[in-house]
Amino acid sequence: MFRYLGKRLLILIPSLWLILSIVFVLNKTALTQTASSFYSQESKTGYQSGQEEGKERAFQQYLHRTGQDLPLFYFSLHSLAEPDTLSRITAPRDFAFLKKMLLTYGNWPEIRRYYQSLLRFENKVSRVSNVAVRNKLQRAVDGLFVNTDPSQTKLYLRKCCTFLHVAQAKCPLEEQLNAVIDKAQPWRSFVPALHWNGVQTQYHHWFTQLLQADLGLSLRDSRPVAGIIGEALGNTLMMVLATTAFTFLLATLLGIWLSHPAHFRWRKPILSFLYLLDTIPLFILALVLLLVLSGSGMMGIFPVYGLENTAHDDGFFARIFSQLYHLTIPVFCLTLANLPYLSNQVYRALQQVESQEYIQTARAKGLSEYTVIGKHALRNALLPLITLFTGFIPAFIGGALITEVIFAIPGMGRLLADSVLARDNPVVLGIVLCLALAKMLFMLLADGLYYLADPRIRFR
Amino acid sequence: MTTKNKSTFLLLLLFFLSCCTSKQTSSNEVRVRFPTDPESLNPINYQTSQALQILNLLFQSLLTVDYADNTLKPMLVEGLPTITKQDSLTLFTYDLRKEAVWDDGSPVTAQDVAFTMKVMLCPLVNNENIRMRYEPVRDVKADPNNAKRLTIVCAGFSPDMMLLTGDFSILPAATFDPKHLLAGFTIPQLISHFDSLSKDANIKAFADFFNDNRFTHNGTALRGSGGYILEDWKTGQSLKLTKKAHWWAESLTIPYITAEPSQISFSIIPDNTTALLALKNDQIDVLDNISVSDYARMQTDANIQARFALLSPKTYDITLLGMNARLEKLADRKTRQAIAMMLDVDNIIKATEQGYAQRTVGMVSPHDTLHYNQAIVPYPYDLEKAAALLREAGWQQKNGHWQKEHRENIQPLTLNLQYRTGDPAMENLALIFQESAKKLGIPVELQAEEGRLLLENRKTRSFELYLRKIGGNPFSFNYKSLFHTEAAGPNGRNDTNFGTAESDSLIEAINQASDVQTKANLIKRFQAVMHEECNVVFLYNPTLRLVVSKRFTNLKISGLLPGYDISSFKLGNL
Repeated sequence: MFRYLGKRLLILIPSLWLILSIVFVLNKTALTQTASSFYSQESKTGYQSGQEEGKERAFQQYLHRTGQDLPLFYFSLHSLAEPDTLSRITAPRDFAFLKKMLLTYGNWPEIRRYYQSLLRFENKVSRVSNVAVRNKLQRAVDGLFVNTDPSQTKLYLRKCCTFLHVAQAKCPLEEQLNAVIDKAQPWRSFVPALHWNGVQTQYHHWFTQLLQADLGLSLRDSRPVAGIIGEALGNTLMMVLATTAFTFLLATLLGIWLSHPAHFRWRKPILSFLYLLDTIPLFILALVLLLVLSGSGMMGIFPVYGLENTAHDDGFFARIFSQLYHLTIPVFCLTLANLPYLSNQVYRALQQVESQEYIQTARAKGLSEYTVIGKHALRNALLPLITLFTGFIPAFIGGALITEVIFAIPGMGRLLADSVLARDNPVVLGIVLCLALAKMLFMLLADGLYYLADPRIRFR
Repeated sequence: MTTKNKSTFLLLLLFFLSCCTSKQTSSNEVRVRFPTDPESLNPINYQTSQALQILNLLFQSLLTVDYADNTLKPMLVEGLPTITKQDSLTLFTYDLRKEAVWDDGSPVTAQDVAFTMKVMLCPLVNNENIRMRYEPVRDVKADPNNAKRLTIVCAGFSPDMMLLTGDFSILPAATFDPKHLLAGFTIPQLISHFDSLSKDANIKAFADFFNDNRFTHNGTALRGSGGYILEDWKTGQSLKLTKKAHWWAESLTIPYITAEPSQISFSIIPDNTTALLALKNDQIDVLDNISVSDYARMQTDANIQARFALLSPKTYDITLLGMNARLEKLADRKTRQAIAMMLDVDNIIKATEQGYAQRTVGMVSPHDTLHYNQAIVPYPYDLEKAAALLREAGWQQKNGHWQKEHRENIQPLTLNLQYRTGDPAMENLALIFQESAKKLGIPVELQAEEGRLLLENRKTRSFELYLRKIGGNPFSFNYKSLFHTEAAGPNGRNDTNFGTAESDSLIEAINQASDVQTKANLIKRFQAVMHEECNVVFLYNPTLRLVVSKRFTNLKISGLLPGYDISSFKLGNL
């Protein structure tokens, strides 16, 4: 068996590496931060100020300090037309303009010259004292930055050249643009090119740290990611394990009970009720339970929110009991939400086994109905249950967000959602690692349980 | 179940419930709901308004806002600063209070203020968020003959500089730099040799020490001169602050420097319905940021009315519609005015804010009677007048649609309106506007965007119209970065391209004016110019909506966030 599990483990390690690497690259590409979105801090009195240039400068220093200014991966793939230095253009307007120009004309040296002339001209415009003229010219410059269509661009250029007091034929901007158009090589935009970035990359730093079991520090509060995830996982795990235990126990009991021929008349109403329960959205179920069981005007026997209500110096058992008390409704809610599907699965699996001949034989031997179901049918109905069981816990670890938000439990779902919104990449990657690891370990567990439950797998 | 089993079960249940009965709150404890965790309590690098609220209780700044009258007042200093202009520099001289001491009894000195400024400007330190704000600061000079006197030297002058120099947490140098690693550097050195100093061993050592999580989470390290200490923080769940046994400001008896509650606890409850239930169950005392519908329901609930004070202070925030005047179709002022007349603001206030808002015409809040221009009549909701204005702007109506000939092309009048997704008020507002415009034959495309994308679109000028809320305050009227034509360039904040020669000179004059009445008149004129140009239609000032238990008095409710001064809460009779 250990050889079998060892083999599976060897396949899992490269899968884990691949998942994490893909998530790292996707995460960095999708969750990019810009200077304007970085500055969310208010002053002591809630007043915000600061010049845009200062913000941009400080933001670049922040990227440098945290190593986020390095290339993302060992190599980058872009078009032949695109220079390596394009990523250094941080102003979104300019970056979008250059990308568009490269796609249309493909000749970087000419585009760069035209772009630099445009910037010089814009600078000149900003020093014009007549506000009306300045506005008019700024509109023309904005138009030049948005349009790459020559007919449109030339209209804007006409305005600019009039301002420069030069004939359009000699207008430097016009000349630069003509050079871009004349020497256009649009095909370069469609030829892919690989560029080697060296070892000093964000991926390399992150992966080297990861190999040393270091998940890094959170960008939000400088705490070690492993500690943050450990805290959240601890909070979630108790809820998940309790829910899994209750759900599977109840589902199995209900499945067995429904399979008993004596309870035939109850099948239809119970299955209909379970179907109805399954259609209720989780947040409605959670809120109804909260109102009924915790509302002051209703039963009011359980706490409304939180995970514990203990003081700093309270003992271990006081904390555990407090947590159990606080988790009663969330666990009840999650159990109710998952019970219909699971009990249905158990019932269907038992029904399939019931038609087998060995069950008829067991009945013919005169065994009681519960012995037939419990001892003979259930063992053979276990295989689909093992798949459900091992998929259940990893799915719950990151997926109990709604329950965690409504009952104010600081678990993994909330941590993941908050970290994604705050662009806290180290924490996001740490959670992905944790989820992937859980998924894989439970797959391994499923393999092990199959091996134990089904002798046919053992002999294969 | 056998009798033995039953009794064991009952015993266990009793034990379980006895362990878990919710603890009674100590009477002088104030319990506040937070929607999110404060994340980091580093006084230099914090991200959330929740963190700011707690930092204000742990640390003190030179100046503070008195929530009783929304004015700036001295906190760690004896009085407002003496301002001296020297060529291109402005000097702000402060005298620290003689009584001000740290928890170990050592005095708060000018060196502590200079040290704090060094931390804010030091390379490698996690201070990017605050550093750019303090770029005008050139030096903090401690008086060699008086340890309590200091002068903050700033380049140039703007009206918000006094606020700038007095608005940061003062850190005890002995706690934050016990090895005196920053002592060898002056502020001018840190500014002028920023890049080269990032390789200095002492700077590196200090940055490593300061960036550590002891200064983001640890209550023992995060001790300032404020009246409270952070006793407990269960991340994502709750924070508990306890009043210091011997606090230096206790003897001052200044009404706005207080630490009345013996304990303040903050419970993190993300969901609004859960928070409301916790309020009704008496598990929290203060709930803010209540939705208009919930607030309206609470006003009709006798049980809530009996136990809680329902408060709705007027804010300085403004909901506005911005128009991109760079675009040809919105370049004409009359087109923009016509769009303003398609907004049924009074009904919008009723529909989106259920009346909890006040109509406004400019950047100044209507309850600031000194600066608000009451002579300006808001644009009426008048579709006929709007159509007439569109015609004057050259638009023609053909087959029910508006169009204009522009450089041999036909330009149709269609509009795109961007707003933040997930904000019901904005969504309703956008829908009402779309409906009004449709009556006039103008199709409006609605584009709900995530907050950061919206910000990027404004920055890249990739918008036609947008709806947004902006924060205001009663302390400064510096419109240079928002509305001067210099800020209309590619990186500037003047995204609507507002600006005339008059508005630019008015902004300069407002920033230089020292006489209160002259300044007020200039601000009023500026509002009139903005109203006429109509790049921005100022719609309304929403109110804050909060609920506080009637157990407390002396709430000091204000339109400034968070809307109350928790340190002043006193236990009442209820």
